Amino acid sequence: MTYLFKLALKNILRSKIRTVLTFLILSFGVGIYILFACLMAGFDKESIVNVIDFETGHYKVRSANFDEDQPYDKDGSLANAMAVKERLRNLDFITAMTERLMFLAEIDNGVDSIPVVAIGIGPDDNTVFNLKKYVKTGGLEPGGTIIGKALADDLGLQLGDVTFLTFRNQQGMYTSVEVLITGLIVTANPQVNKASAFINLDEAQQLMNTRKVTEIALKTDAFFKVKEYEPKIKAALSDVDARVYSWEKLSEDFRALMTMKRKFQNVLVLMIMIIAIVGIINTMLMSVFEKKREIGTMKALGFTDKEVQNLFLVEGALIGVAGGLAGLVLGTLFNAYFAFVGFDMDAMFGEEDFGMPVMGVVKSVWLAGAYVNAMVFTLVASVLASYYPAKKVTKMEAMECLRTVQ
Amino acid sequence: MRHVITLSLLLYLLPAHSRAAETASDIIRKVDGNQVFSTETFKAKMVIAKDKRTLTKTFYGYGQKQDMKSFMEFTNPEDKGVKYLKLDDELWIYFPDADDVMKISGHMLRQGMMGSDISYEDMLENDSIEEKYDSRLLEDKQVDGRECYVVELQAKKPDVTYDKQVIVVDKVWYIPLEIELYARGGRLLKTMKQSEVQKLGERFVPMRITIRDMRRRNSQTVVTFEEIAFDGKVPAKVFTKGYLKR
Amino acid sequence: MLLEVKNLSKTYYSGKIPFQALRAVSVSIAKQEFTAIAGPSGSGKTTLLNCLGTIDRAESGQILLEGMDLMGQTKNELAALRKENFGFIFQTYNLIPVLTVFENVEMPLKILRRFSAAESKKRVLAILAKVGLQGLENRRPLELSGGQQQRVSIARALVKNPKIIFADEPTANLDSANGEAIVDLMRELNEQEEATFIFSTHDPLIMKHAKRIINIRDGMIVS
Repeated sequence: MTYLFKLALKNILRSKIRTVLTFLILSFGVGIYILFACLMAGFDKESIVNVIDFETGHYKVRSANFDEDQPYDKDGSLANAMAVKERLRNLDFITAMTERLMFLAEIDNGVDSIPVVAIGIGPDDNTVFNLKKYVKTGGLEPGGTIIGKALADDLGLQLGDVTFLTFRNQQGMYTSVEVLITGLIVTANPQVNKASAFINLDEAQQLMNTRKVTEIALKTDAFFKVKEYEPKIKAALSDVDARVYSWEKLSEDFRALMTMKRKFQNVLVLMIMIIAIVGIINTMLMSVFEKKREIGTMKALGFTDKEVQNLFLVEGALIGVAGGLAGLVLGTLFNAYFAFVGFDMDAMFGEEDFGMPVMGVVKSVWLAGAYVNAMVFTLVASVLASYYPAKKVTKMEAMECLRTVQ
Repeated sequence: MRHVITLSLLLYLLPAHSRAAETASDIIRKVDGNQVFSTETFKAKMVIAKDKRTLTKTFYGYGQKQDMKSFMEFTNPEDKGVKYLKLDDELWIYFPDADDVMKISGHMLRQGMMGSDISYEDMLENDSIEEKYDSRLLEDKQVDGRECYVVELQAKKPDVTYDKQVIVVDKVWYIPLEIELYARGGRLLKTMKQSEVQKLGERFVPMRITIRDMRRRNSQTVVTFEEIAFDGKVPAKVFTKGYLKR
Repeated sequence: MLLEVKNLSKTYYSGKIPFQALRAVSVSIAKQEFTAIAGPSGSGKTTLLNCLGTIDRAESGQILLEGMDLMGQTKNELAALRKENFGFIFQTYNLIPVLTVFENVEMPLKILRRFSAAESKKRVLAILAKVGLQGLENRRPLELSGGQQQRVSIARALVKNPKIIFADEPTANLDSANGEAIVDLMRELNEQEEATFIFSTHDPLIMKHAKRIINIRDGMIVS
């Protein structure tokens, strides 16, 4: 085997241009794959962080009457938020909780009116959510509202302008209130940007003529311990009107979308790899035909078919390993840029969001799995790609090979 | 349609036995008396103006006062076959393209019917609420040269649709020529004007209703009745969900 | 008898047209013979040589190597057999271009896996000296002249002391001086190393060096 290895290596080094070309295609493919996988993982991570920071918290507690299909349409508020909070206080892994009151409203400038979700947030909202991260200008002040920048643009409104929120209160009476735009928000979620208005919780309750809240959002000491914590929270709330939603559950749709997107990305990556494999197959086929007479000679000298076949498989594997390793280095270099400098979504796509729940500068992560995948895949693929040419060699009679005129 | 629009908005203006404003309640009672009928049949045109665009829709329909039932079907080419059925406090719509009957609920209720300034919610207003409003008479005014009373209704508790209503009633016909609907907080949300009053038999009937949503400055909806008849025979089958699909 | 051939027949197909290259050829080769198979091109001499060397298959007849029939053997068995017993010299030398002279000659020993590195080196250097290539061990085949390349090829064939060396037109690509030198070398080695040579040629100049000449025409032995 060592002898075959040596021979294979010498063969590879012989046809330099072709080998280098294949090697380049392969390493580029691997490099791109690694960059892609790491960047996408970075996007995913950022998306999850965004969703948790802005929308879901770690858990939400809502009433059992809450209608998930038509949220905020009907009265689905928590019957006894106090009781819920009291029980949750006994769970030491819960580090913070805050109440929110949501209801459907319309926002208008006297010319147009746009439906929005009004969200009443308490002064302790920042203990669970990180609204500040997304507020571009201003903040929430008494009698004020923070609305999406996109929504403000749609209505031709600016910071400091007055707008109206109109909605039906808990008892069904139309209520219209003048609010001052004291903050503008830009998140990665276009739904939020175009259709939400944050106001103070106490004002929201007063306007809705209720003392209830829609949900209590929780933060725990470890967001990933859903399996461990969720049953404990549920158990603690078993005797009150409450349903517990983990961030995983709350972000289900969006994560399903993420998975779907990843499948699409995989197809792209697969295509790159197929090109690389075709490159290897081509190189190996050329190598085989070029060496037909040598093959005949080796067979005459007593090499078995298997040995000759192995020679080519080793050749392919060597190209694969070398190309793969170079690809890892290349991918690392590519990814290093995006891991340290980051990918500027705004500069790249401008206002367009492509449904990506990320924005600003997204940093790539280092994904060990991508390296392992790339290496295993390249090795397997290059051996497989060499298999057919090598098999062809096996089938040839020594005579046939020797007769070749070159 | 009258039922759907006018009565929806007006039916609950039933006598408010307020000591302070007996005159006002009298007026309201008389207005209400003017609306007494058992069935109605109509053919109408709706012109929706938004910014510089106008949409014209035609429809016919039936109403039955007692059970709060009404039915209407659109006949203009774009909306041909779209049917609405109102049964008590439920509203159903049939789209021929989808060949499907759908109940209008949730946030859809806030949308304007066929893009108009009449929301589905408006169509469903049923509360014939006595004792929910305090009424008082304001200073008389003239509308299109006609002498009118001005009645203000103030909700007693925040559990009715509008916090305040101002109704301008013709002193001779006892027909509201203007209605203003206010939200809690004092903001005028909607106005409705009735004009082109005609005498049909014993009763006076406004043939034109103009509705404006004050939050949308450049839009208004005008409903003009081309034919209208009261207390005739109305086919009972039209008030069934099964009929929508046919 | 070292090698006995009985009634060997072989038909080629070029497309669907059959061409009978060997017609019931029978011949015997004794140990340490230096035999030329002579005949014009197309006579079947190369086919006969290839069939004897088991790098081509005849369709009927017998090939007995020291009494063992080779016709029924599998590809792998034949490969092992060639590895142990046969050496080959080709008209076009067929050296492996990526390997040095030394490595080319070493190759048969490598795949035999029987010799230590030291022993194998000793053998290679000895045979290279015998064919007159000392000092050129680290050259690549393409840096050598045709005559030199064929010497490497001879060394490669002889290095493992095979029972028979098959040489297909070993001098056809060389000028007559070089060609004769090669045959002389082969003859010399035939004596010194007690190696059995069977070679094909159509060159009368070369033929005269042979101890025995088998004439072949139209797939049949004529003398």
